[in-house]
Amino acid sequence: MKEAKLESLERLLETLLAAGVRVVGPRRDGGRVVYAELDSPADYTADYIAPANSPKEFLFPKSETILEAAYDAAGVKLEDKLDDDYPATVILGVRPCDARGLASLDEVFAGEYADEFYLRRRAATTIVAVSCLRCDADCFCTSTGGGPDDPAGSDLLLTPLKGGYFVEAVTEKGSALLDGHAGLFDDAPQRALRDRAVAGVKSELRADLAETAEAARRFLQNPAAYDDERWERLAYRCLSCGACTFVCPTCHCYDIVDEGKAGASRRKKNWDACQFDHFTLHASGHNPRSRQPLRWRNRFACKFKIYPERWEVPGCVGCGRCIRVCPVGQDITEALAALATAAGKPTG
Amino acid sequence: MNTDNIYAPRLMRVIEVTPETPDIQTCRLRFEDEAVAESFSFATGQFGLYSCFGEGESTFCIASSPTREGYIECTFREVGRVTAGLARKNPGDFIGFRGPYGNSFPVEAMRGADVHIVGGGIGLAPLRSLICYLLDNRADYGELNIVYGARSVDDLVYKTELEEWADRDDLSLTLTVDPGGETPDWRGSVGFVPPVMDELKLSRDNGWLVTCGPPIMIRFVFESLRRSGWDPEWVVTTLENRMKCGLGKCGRCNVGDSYVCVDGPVYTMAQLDELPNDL
Ligand code: SF4
Ligand code: SF4
Ligand code: FES
Repeated sequence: MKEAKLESLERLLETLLAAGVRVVGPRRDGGRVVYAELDSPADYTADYIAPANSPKEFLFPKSETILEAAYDAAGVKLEDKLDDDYPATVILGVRPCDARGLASLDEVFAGEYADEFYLRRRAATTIVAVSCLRCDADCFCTSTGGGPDDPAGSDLLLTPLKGGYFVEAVTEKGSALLDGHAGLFDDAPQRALRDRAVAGVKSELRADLAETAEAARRFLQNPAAYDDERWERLAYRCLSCGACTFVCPTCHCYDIVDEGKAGASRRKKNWDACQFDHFTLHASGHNPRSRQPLRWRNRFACKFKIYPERWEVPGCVGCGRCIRVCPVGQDITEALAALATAAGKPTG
Repeated sequence: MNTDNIYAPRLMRVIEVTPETPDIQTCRLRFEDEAVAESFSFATGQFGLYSCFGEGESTFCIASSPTREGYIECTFREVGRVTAGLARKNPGDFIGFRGPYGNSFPVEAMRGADVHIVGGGIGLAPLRSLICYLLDNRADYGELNIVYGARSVDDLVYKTELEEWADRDDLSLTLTVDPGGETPDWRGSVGFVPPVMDELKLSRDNGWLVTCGPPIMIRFVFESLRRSGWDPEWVVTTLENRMKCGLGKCGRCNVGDSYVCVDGPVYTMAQLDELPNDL
């Protein structure tokens, strides 16, 4: 695939915005940085580790109308809210962990029953990721098989160099973006410069969790592992607030609800979370996951067993958001370490 | 309607409403669009999502048999906003339907074997689809035993059919109600379903057992079958987990890593034994 050098990110942003492309990127929001729509190149900030939100909301909106109905005594008229086209969008500055997370979401929403609301948005979106040169104590991407310069899920990957970016096209879509803006790009510098740029952060990232994701998967292989006494201890703090799921790039749970008024209603697909007690409540009153440790166990199993086995993609990309956001300090890596030990972590 | 929208329901017209118990009713439905009605097919055990527009969608099995063409039926208890909305529908009114979804009862594998059906409460709904299917293909199957119970006489569903089944000589029907649920003229058994089933000493040679009912009933039925050494591959149930999408995406219905909406809802006891305690 093509490689190049980008001198000025600002000019790329300018060009995209001038062409009427919807551009989403890291933007300051009070004391934090979030992925948000950018109105001008000045809105972009390069000073962030992982934005507070994940980019999934631009493909899988928090709330989306999927159907409208109008009804009276004579009948019902339905209006499909699936559009033929979704706005051309570039998400610029996506972290490699998040890009990988989107690739995981792709698998959930594709398949035999293809969710075109997601897939059409995805098709209209180009992911331009930017490699990380810094991390914080909660990042653990390399332990989940990713890395600060992992191209998976990106269309184009930019790695910051002194004065510009090393650019690599990962997909055809990325190549097309390069070709379409040839004037903004120069010949690629040596690839060694790019590798050197991320060497520092690679050595800083947590290494103690290596292999734990796979060990946790093996641990969960045994159905009896679900009854392991450790779950109570590992999840007793959790308040069921759901914050961890909303910031997670791979959490995909949603609800389908009608918002109605006499004569007309809208059917919506809204984010939901397996951490809420009503999530699995049966009509009969029975609740298979009636207590919080059982719900937290489900989230963990979803990340480390269901995703890799059902969709053959990672369920956790190590972005660290669930750890940063949790009001009570619940830390998924503690469980990873504990359960991997329980599974008998391979030695050597 | 755009058929690329996996969430788009088809309109169905209510053609008949049958009250079953004070809070359970059965709706007979027919697709409004003739072409859809013609092309629609399903297998016994599958389910669908039923819409009351303005209220939302609810998941129920298709309670009728694919052998009875031209309509489908659903049986539901009025417990929340959507089911209350559906319960207000009268013949001629419209509802929405998506489906059929999920797997189905192994009627091919069951051919030539005896079939024992053990149901409780509204759990008879999916079993009734199967029973009607078996009766419509009666020559292909061996003995047919039905054990069905509810809390009280009032809580038994499909009373007209229960009477018809009782009159047939090609099946054996045992009805029971929980202690205290009987009326003075009750001629069935009194007792919980699992012990009543035990008394029948159903033969596990060449016999399938299909059960559905409240989770606690299923648990005791399974325990009893395990004690008697029934082959877990020949014991079948259908799970009624909470569902929203029915498509394997919304993340709500899973038991361990099995997604009931696409991998189920029909499971053998052997399959459930492999799943974690997440039921
Ligand atoms: S783990 Fe933390 S963030 Fe997640 S639901 Fe529990 S309390 Fe909320
Ligand atoms: S589980 Fe936590 S660390 Fe893993 S991808 Fe989700 S938010 Fe990030
Ligand atoms: S009902 Fe949505 S995943 Fe099964």
